[in-house]
Parts: sequence; structure tokens; C-alpha cells
Amino acid sequence: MNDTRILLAVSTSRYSQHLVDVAMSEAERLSSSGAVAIDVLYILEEEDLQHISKRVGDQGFLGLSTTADVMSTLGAEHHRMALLRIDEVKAAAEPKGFAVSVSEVTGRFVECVLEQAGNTHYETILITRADRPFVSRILFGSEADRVARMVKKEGLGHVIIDEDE
Amino acid sequence: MRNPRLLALLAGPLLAALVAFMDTPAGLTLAGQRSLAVLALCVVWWVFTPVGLPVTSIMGLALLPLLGAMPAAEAFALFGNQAVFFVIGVFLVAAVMLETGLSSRISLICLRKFARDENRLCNGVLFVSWGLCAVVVSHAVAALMLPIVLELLRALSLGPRSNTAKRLLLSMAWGTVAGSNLTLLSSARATLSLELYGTYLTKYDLPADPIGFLEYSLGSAPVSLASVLIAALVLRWVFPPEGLDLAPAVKQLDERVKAMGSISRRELSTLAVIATMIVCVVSFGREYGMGTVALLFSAILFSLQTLKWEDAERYVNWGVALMYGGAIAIGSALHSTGATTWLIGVLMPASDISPWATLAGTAVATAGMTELVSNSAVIALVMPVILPVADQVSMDPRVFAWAAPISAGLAFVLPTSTPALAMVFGTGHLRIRHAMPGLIITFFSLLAFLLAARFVWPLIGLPVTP
Repeated sequence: MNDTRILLAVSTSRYSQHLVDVAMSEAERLSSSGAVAIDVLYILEEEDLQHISKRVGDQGFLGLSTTADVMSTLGAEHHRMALLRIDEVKAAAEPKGFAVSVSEVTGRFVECVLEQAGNTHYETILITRADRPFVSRILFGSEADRVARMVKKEGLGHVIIDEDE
Repeated sequence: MRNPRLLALLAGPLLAALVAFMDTPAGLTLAGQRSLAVLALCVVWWVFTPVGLPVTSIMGLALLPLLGAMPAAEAFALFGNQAVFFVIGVFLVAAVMLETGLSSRISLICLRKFARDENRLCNGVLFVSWGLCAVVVSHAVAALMLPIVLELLRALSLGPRSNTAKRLLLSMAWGTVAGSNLTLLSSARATLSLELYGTYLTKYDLPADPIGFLEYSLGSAPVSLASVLIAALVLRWVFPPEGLDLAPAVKQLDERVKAMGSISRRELSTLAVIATMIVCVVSFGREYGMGTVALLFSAILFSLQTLKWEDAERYVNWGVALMYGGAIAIGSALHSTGATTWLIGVLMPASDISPWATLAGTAVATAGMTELVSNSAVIALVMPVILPVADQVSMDPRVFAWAAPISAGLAFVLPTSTPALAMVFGTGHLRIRHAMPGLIITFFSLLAFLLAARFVWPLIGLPVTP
């Protein structure tokens, strides 16, 4: 019999301890009907880095070499943050007997989550909102809401959106 | 609307067309109306940045002769002004400091001295970032300090929940923001402001009154110093020490300092050239033009092989010349056609507003704008409009040559404000709420700005009220 799977999609700008707690509660709820596995999808958001690169180059007027150095420094820090956060999820899940598997991908948040959810059947998909002003969400939309809409449309699972802590 | 870039891209030309082809209001010339149309496009594009800042500038520059706001020869001639070349010099100084490793050496040695306890280490990052801005443009200081601060975070194993990590990162960002008001080498926006003030004088046949390097710095540095001191207090209060063992960070700094070895001949010649350049800019900048001195010393740096052309290309985004050249041409067109004088007459018909209220209002509005918009763009937009206000409220327009760039350097909260804040937010350690105490720094810096205007500026011959 296959495990019930939960997808925990996080990134540098989309992560909260509360989301991890919600994931554990959800896993405990689902475990009454069998084994539960948690797939952590860590997304290194290229777009975030490109925005910063644009600011450093276009607004700071620093050259390509400096901009590239800044990007590579930030990329390395994102990877370190990913490892620390994955450790946090494992520390919360493994004592409770939930298997944790991890994949680290680079790309756009929405596309990465949808691709992962399309490849594997998930009972629940957990994401968190990026920390953005309410007005910005109203005017320019929310990627978390977009994931929820697309997942519902494609029938890929149940989405829980957590507020950034 | 899910494509804000496209919306802004279309809104700019549409608004410009609306302004350009509406009935010409009484008191405004056709050339003035067309200048305002160019300004309308630039406002939308500089604020919402559907294209890079320099692209907006060159679009504005092309539209000035096309719409009949300014003859092509005059518009293009403004590209060759002193300010553009001084700004290029400012960025070349930053390039040579980064390339030779001199700025890394200074920052690492200073940080090593500070690394005795958490408070001192964080204050070290704050004050080293601030102090380096006296010579190196603040965005380059941020790019230099970011990897050093992240190395410290790694050495101390500081994760996303660490307050010290947040404090170190904000110390770097707030240090460079405060430092951007230290001297004319700290940011390019002050030079733009001085040049726009210069074109305003020229267009109204007022006596040329160039503002010197030392004069500007004496007016701006007290505000900068106040900002960094307030930042130190706010950071200490918001992020108290966590009781960390600093030994790994000290070891890391020791290793970095040791790896650099003794100071090289190239670093020494860089130091000598830059020190001489600053002395010459202070001594002869008013007489010969700061751009001339900057060009001369840039050529010396290249001649001594201290800086190679390919290094300069790697470190400097030449869009800076297009951005500033275009902004100066647009500002000049607004002055020469009388467009901004007309606009201010319409917006501020009464002249019973006190000079101090005008100064405070300008500073608050500029500081607010700069949280959302690049500070260079803020200066390009604010200066042409605000200078004619001086006449309305019986103020010396020189005051705005200081007021606008200083208050455009008081953005301590949002990642949209400066590249330094964008970088530290980009690490993932910070959320906007962590930088909200920056509003306290902005408030007290504005207060310090008004106090400097009241008590310090008269000492350098700059009274706010006649």
C-alpha cells in the first residue's frame, strides 16, 4: 500500500515555523489511516535573485562583475538557509515517525510546485505566503493564491496556505 | 492587472501624449507644455521602472527635440556636462578600491579590531560600512560588505532565527544608507542635485554659484553622523545580544587578514592617487570644475596601471552616464521653458507658506518617495520642480541642493529603496517587519536634518531664510 504523501513547498522567502507545525498536525491527522510521508520541495527562486541583480545593476550602477559576485554570494546563502530549514523539518518529523524526503530545485515558485504536484499524487500541499504588503497582493496578485487555484483546477490535491510568521 | 510592467510601459507614453496634445493652459508656452509631457513619461517610468532608469533618460532625451521642447543640439550638449564626468570618476574610484582589494583590507582590519563582543562586532559592521562611504560610493560598499557579513554569519552558524544575523545584515545596510550622505563621493545623487541647481541658475541668468566638495560635505555629514548614531541605538535596542561565542568569527577574520598579506604597491598607489584627488577636488573643484579634476585623476589611475580599462568595464555600469546626462537635459528643459515655474504657480498659488514648513515638507515627501523609488530618480523628479518653489516662499534655492539629496538618502525600511536593502532582504534572513524600526531612524534623521539646517548650514553661508 502506498504512503499518503504531503508536499511541503518552501523557499527562501516562503517559509515559516508555523507552516512546519501545520505540516506536522496534518501528517498526524492523516496518519490515522496509514503511513504518511512528507516531501519537502525547496525552491531556490531565481526571480528573487534576478530582481536584486536588476537593482544592483540598474539602480546601483554597479558593473556586471560586482553584480555577479553579489548574486553568487546570495545564491550560496540561499543554499545554506535551505539546508538549515530542511534540518528543522526533519527534526520535527522524524521523531514522530514520518518519513521525509527532500528535493532542491531552482526556478519559479508556482511552476516548480505545479510540476512536482503533477508528478506525484499528494493528499495535501502546504505553502506559505511571501511577506508582502496587503495592497501589493491586491494589486499584483498572490503566487500562493495562484498555486491554490491551479491545483484545484487540475485536481492535484488539497492546498493549505499558511501566513508568513 | 497581472502585468504591472506592461501597464506602466503603456501608461507613460499615454500620459505624455495627453499632456502634450491637450489645449495649452494660459501662462504656459507650447515648449513648456511639451517639457511637462516628457516629465510625465519620466515620472511613470522612473517610479514604476518598466525599463531601466537609463532607458527612461534616453527616451526623455530623444523626446525633448522631437516634441519641440528643446533644440537637439542643446539637449545633447548637456550630456557633456561636468556632473556626468564627476559621477564617472566617483564610480571609477569605487572600481579601483574594489579591484585592488584596498577596501576589503580596510574593512577586514577594522572589523577585526571591533570583534571583541557582539555589540562591538555589530557596531563595527555599521561604522565600517558608514565610514567607507566617505570615499567609495555607498552601493559599492554594500556589495563589498555583503560577502564579509555572510562569512561572519556562517562562521558563527547563525540561522534564519538569529537576531544577531539580522542585526549584522541591517548594520551593513543602514550603515551604507546613512553613509550615502557623507560626502560627494558617497553617492551620485548629490552631484546630480548640484548640477540641476546649476542649470536652474543658468537658465534664469542668476549668478553662477558653484557648490564645492567640502562645502556640500560639511552640510550633509552632520545628518549622516546623526543617522548612523541613531541606527546604532535602534539596532542595539531591537536586536539585543544573544551571548554568542565570537571565537569562530575572530578566527575567520584573522585568516582573511593573514591571507591578504602585507599591503601591495598597487594598493599604496591607489591610496595616494585617491587621497590626492580628494585634496584637489576640495582645493580646485570650484575653480576648474569637479568633473575636470575627477577626469584627470581617472586618467592617472589608468596611466599608472592601477586600474585597467577592462576592470573599469567590469565594475561600472555605464548606464549611469546615460541616466544622469538625460536627467540633467530634462531638468534643464523644464527650467528653460518655464514649465516648472508655471506648474508651481498652479500648485502653490499662495506664497504665505513659511520657508521652514516648505523645507520640512520637501524633506518628508522626498524621504517618503525614496522608500519606493530609486533615489537618483527621486532627485531627477524633485529638483526641477522644487527649485522654483524657493522663489515663491522667499528662500535661497541653494538650500534645496542639499535638502533633496540628503532626504533622498533617508530610506531605511523597504527593499525597493536602495540596492543595499535589496541585498540584505535577498539573503532570506529578514522580513519587512524587521526593518520597520528604520522608520525611527528616518524620523530622527529628519529632525537632525532640520537642526543642521537651523544651526550648521548658516555657518557655511547657507541660511534657510534670508
